[in-house]
Amino acid sequence: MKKNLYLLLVVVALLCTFSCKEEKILVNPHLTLSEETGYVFSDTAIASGVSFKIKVICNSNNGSNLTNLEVKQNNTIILNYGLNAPSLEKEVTLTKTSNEIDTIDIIIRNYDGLSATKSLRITKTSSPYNDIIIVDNITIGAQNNTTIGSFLDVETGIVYTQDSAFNHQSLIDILYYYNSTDLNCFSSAGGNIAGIFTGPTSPENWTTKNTTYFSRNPINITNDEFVNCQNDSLIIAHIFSDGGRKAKSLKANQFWAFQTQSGKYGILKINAVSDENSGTINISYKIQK
Amino acid sequence: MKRVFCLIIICFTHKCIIAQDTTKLISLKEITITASRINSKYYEMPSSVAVVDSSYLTQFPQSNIDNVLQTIAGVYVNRSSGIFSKNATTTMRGFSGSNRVLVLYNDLPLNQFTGGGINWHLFNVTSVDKIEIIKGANSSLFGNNAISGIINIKTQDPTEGFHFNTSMSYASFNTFALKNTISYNNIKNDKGYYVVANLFYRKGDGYYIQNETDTTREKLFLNERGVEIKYKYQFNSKNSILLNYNYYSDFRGDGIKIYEPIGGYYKDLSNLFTATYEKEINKVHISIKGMFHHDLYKQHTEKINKTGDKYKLYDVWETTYDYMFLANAIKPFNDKFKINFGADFKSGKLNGIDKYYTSTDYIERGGNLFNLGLFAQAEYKTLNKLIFSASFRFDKTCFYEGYLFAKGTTSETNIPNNSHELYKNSNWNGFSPKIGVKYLINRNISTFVSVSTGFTPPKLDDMVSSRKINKGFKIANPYLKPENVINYELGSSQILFDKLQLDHSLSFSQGRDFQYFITIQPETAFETAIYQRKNIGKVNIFGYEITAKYNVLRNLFIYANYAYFNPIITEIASQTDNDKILVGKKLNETPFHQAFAGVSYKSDKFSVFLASNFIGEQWADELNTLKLEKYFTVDTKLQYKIYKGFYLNLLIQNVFNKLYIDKKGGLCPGRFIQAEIEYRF
Repeated sequence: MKKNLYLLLVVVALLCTFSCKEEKILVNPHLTLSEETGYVFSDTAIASGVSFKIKVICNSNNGSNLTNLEVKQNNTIILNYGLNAPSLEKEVTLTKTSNEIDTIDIIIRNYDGLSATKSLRITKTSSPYNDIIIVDNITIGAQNNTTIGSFLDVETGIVYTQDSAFNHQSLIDILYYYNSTDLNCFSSAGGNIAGIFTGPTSPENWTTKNTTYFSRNPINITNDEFVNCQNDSLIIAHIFSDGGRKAKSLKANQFWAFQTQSGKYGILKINAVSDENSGTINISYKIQK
Repeated sequence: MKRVFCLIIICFTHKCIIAQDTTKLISLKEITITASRINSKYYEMPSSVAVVDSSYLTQFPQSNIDNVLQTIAGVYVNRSSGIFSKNATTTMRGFSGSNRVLVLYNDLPLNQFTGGGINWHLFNVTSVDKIEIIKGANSSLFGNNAISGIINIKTQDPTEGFHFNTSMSYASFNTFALKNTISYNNIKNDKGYYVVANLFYRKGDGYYIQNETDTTREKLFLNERGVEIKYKYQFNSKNSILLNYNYYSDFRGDGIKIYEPIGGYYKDLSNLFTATYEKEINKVHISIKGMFHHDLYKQHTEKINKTGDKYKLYDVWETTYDYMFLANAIKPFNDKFKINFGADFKSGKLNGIDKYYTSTDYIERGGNLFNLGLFAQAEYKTLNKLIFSASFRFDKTCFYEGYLFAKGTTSETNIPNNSHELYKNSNWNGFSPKIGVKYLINRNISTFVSVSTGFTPPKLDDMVSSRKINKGFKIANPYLKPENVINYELGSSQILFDKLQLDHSLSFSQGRDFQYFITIQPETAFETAIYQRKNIGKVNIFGYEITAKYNVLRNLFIYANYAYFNPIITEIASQTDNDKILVGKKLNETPFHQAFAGVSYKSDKFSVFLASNFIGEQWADELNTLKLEKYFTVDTKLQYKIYKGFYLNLLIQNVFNKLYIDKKGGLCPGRFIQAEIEYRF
């Protein structure tokens, strides 16, 4: 009996020895922001439209590997970075929006789902530049397009059909058409357009004819400059004095500066265009408020 | 029309009219095919039927049970990584998708409602007695999945007394395997019990599935174990109960290692219980069967994009439950007429979780399918020459409690954040008739004609799972409908000169509401490809098969077969241009031509099997832009009896080291050599 008991004890001891697993350390990762010159690391004030950098420094704190770095600006994900390493240094560039206060949340997560966070409040400083209206991915139809209108109200981004535009003449700043002479072309009711649109509601018969002027040629800016533009600094930098009433031969990825009847300046980007009188053009634009 | 029919019959049988009576190949004809559900004789069935017996299985150069199915005309097995494949995909007669082949295990359907297929690793080759293959649509018998055919794996009963069988093997890629079988049979005078236990273990370092230029490549390692326990109690010759338990677990590499210590891997744990009770009362054979299958699956994946700046790490956990009850009664009225009727109940449940570590995405998904089927079957023989077989089945299938919950989702998963979708329940009815006539011209020649139907509801995974797949992202389609197939077939069987058996079959199948995996959004530089399974429309498959078995000498056999199938999409239900482009395209992942040739010899001390396989070209994508090359492989197995009960086995697969590429661009392992020592007590 005693012998059996000893045997049982030995078996239990062996089982305990071999069944012991190395304990996994569950600790939150560690996160700091670099205080080097040129990086934002605490609450501060920055002018709208100005870019700034943060440098995230984090480590696993002897726990599981880091797997995800997330940076959010006003709850919009700016960076969602995957990794599998015990440490990370990552530089992130952000742009101050026109909001009075931007909240920047930086979250580092490890494999166990544990996290460390930092938040920054970026207040808007007074700026010599003004806020702008941003409109993305508007599709406008050419003159023979039966489903999408050709007339744009740039303040609201609403596209009107010819009949509807006739009833909102004072709101229409830009119209789009395609013909063999001008190819893809932007103009306005005051642009002396004849024979393109037909019928009693065609712009020739309008009583209010807004005129929009366009830069003579596409302007030379980068896509990043356009995307990051949060105030009218870029627009002001491209104010023109000798504009024309048409922007012809429009092609994808071109940028054009324009000025509406009310004197507001803007920049538009051609995202996509189809070369036919029943086709469409897709644009994004930014205009002074 | 009559003349045409007569001409076809003459054409199919003219060679055989001069044939002599045979005795040697006749034994196969007497085999009872239990997959017919009415226990029909092999030679009386108005269908294309093939049988693989245990002798063939033992001799054949296989490392997994599905290898042997590749030798059947019209059956295509995709196990491109050999023993290191996560699973095998078995398809038949030009239909892609393993969910279109119904697999039975001792007459019990095994296909899971989740993915439609089965885990081929559950079966231990040493315990298999025979494999029955009935080709063509057959939903009138078992309902779902029997779109292109039925495969029935039958395990063997142990011989009387105590027996022990053990084997050890060492193979390429540092692969070690161990198999043990212990059995005790105490059935005497039709009363008693037997018990059999099979144990299996295999471990291997694996091989690189990716090219040398891929810096993230890792070996497809393997570690698997299985247990099978079978117990039968026989009350008398007409009353018995059979219990079966199968356990299988594996741990396999996925061939990619970036930062994780062992890279990506798969883990699977399966438990399968089956029970069969059989009783004969007043010549009525009653059979009641039950099955429970529980599967736990984990996938741990890491990936990095081509530019090396986007790393992903995520886990997938899936739990599935499948259970069913089948009951039927066979009533023979006389030698010529018998009927069979019964009811089946099947249910399946899926719960899945996808957790991403490199982003905040977290998805839960799941759902249930339930099926109730009622069937009736009749077989009538007349004039000793004609056998009429008719059956029909009504199926009611319900999809319910489907859900998809997502939180913290990003562009990684393309699912709206905080999704809380409860999918609408669906009910479908299926009516599947079959009618066939077999004409026994004489003892050696027969011909048949049949019209049969297939019905299969959607897979749970397709209805509820929005998840990452190898080539992109898959979107759930809770609006999928069942697929239906009608199959017309004309076939013949002849035995010539007492030595040569020839089987032909000509078939035409038409699939309606065909479920097909198609691209919703192609891959771009910025976005991953998105796929979804849809009911695309109609598919026509025309095919021809010929099989020959030649008994050259007493123990020398030559086998050969060829199959051609041409599956074409003929009609698209969708109005979108993207989908319409599929009209005229061939189904992917199914070869148009296949051929097999083999020779086997067996003496008291020595046996050898030399097998060769030809797999023709096939399309890898639905737009038929990427063609997989044809390939030809040769396998062999030699067995030598060293001493009483001691055997030495040498297996060589892919003798000429043909390196072919699979549909995912992965390399096959090439030549695989295995030496095994076996002891039978």
